[in-house]
Amino acid sequence: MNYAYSVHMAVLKVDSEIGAVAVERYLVAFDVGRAVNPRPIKGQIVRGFAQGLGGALMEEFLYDAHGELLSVTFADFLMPTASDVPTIDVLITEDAPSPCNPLGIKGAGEASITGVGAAIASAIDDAISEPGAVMQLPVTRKRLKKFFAADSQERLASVTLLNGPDERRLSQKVDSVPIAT
Amino acid sequence: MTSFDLVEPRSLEEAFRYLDPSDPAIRPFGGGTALMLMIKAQMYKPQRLVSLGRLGGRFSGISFDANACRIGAMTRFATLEHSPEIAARLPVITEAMKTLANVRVRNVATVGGNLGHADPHLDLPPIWLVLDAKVTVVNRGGERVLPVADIFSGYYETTLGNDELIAEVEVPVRQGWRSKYVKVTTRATHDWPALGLAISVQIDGHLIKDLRIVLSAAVDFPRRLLGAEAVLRGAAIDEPLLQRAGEAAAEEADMESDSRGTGDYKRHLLRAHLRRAVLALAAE
Ligand SMILES: Cc1cc2nc3c(=O)[nH]c(=O)nc-3n(C[C@H](O)[C@H](O)[C@H](O)COP(=O)(O)OP(=O)(O)OC[C@H]3O[C@@H](n4cnc5c(N)ncnc54)[C@H](O)[C@@H]3O)c2cc1C
Repeated sequence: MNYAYSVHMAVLKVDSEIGAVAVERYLVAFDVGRAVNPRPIKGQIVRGFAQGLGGALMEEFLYDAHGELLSVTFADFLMPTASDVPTIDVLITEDAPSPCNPLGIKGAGEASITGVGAAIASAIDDAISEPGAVMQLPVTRKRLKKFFAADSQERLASVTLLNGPDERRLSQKVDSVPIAT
Repeated sequence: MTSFDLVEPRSLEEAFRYLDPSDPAIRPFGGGTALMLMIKAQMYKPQRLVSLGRLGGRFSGISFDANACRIGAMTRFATLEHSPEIAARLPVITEAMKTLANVRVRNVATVGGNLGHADPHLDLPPIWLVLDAKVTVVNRGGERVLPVADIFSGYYETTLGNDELIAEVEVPVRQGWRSKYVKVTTRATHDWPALGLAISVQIDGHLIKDLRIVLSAAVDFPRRLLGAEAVLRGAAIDEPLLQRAGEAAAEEADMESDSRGTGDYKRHLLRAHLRRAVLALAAE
C-alpha cells in the first residue's frame, strides 16, 4: 500500500456584485513517488485540474420534480473550456517513492482532480470571510449569490488547502515555488 | 435524418424558382449551422434546401464608404473576424467574435443565416441594432430595406416571407461613437448568454450626448431599452445617474427565469453590467 498525495492552493477573486468567481492563480503540488516522464505527468495534472474546476464551479446533473434528467446535452451540462481554465502552476515532487515497486512510482492523476473542489470552496469562504459558507458543489452563481446582500466589493482571497499526510513538509515545498498570495 | 434536396442556384431568378412562399419544408441555406442542428434534432424536416453560396453579387463581400459598411448576407463570421477594416471601424464586431461559438462554426456561419435564425441568444443581432444597421431583403417583386430590429417578431420568429432573402446588411459608421457588447454568461464561457447587452454612446468627457442600449437573450428578441436611454441621454455620468439608469432598465425589461438565472437575478445583472459598461465606455 502506498499513497500519492497532492497540495492545492487557490487564489481567486469573488465578484460579489454578480456572484462570479475568477480563479487567478492555482497550484497543484503532487508527490508521484518517481516521475519517470514528467511532461505527461504535468499534462495529466493540468487536465485533472480542469476536470476538478468543472466539478467545483459548473458541472451538475439536474433533475426535475419527476426525476427526469435535465442536463442531457453539453448545452445544459456545462464543462470548462480553454476560456474558463487558467494557466496553473504544477510542482511535481518525488519525496516519498513507493516501496512497493522497483521504480518507486505512485498514482499521478486523481489527486489533481479531487482537491480542486475543496480548495475553491475554501478560497471562496475566505474571500467572503465566512468559514464553512460553501457546503455544496458546484458553486454556481445561484448558490454564490445567496451569500451576498447589497455588498458590491471585490475581495481577494488567497487560501491554502493541504491535502496530504505531512502538512509541514509539503508547505515548505510550496514555499519554494513563486506563487503570489 | 430523412433525405432532402440541396440546390445551389447561381442567380436570384433561379433561387426564386426553387423557393416557395408557403411551403415551410423549403428553406434558404446559409452556412447551415443552425439548420443542421434542427434537422439532426428532428425539429425540422426539410424537403429542399436552397443554398445561397453561389449567388455572389451583393450577397458576398464587405465594403466601406465614408459613412457606412455594407456586409453581404453570405459573409462568414470568420471573414468578419479577420477583416482589418472591421477591426478598425467597427471594433465591437471583432471583439464579439472572440467569444462567439468556435472556429469551426465561425468558418461557416453567415451573417444572413444568423439573422434568419432569430434565436434571441445570438450575439450579433443586438450589435446590429445598437449600431442602427439596416437590412436589404429581396423577393420576387423587388426589394425592401428595413431596420434590423424589424426582422424579429418573436422567439425564433421573423417578419420575413418564406421565399424572401436577406441580401445585405448596411451598418452606419459614425464618428465619435463607441460601442460595447457584453455577453453575460452565468455558467461557463461557452454557455448561451443569460443576457446580452449592447451599448453605443456618443460621449464627451463625462457627458453622454446620445446613446442606444439593446438587450438580448433574456427577452424574446433583441430590443432597445428606451427608458434607460432616456435617463442617460444628455446627462453627466455619476453614480446616482447610473443607479437610476439601471433601475429604468430593470423596470422596462420583462425577463423570465430559466436555467441561466431567475428573472430577478437577470435584472440584477442588467443593472450591474449596464453600470459597468457605461463606465468602461467613458474610460475608453
Ligand atoms: C456549436 C455552436 C455554437 C454556437 N455558439 C454561438 C455563440 O456563441 N454565439 C452566437 O451568436 N451564435 C452561436 N451559434 C449560432 C450560430 O451563430 C448560428 O447557428 C449561425 O449564425 C447561423 O448562420 P448559418 O449561416 O449557419 O444559418 P443557416 O443554418 O444556414 O440558417 C439559419 C436560418 O436562417 C435562414 N436563412 C439563412 N440564410 C438566409 C438569408 N440570406 N435570408 C433569409 N433567411 C436565411 C435559414 O433558412 C434558417 O431558417 C452557435 C452554433 C453552433 C452550432
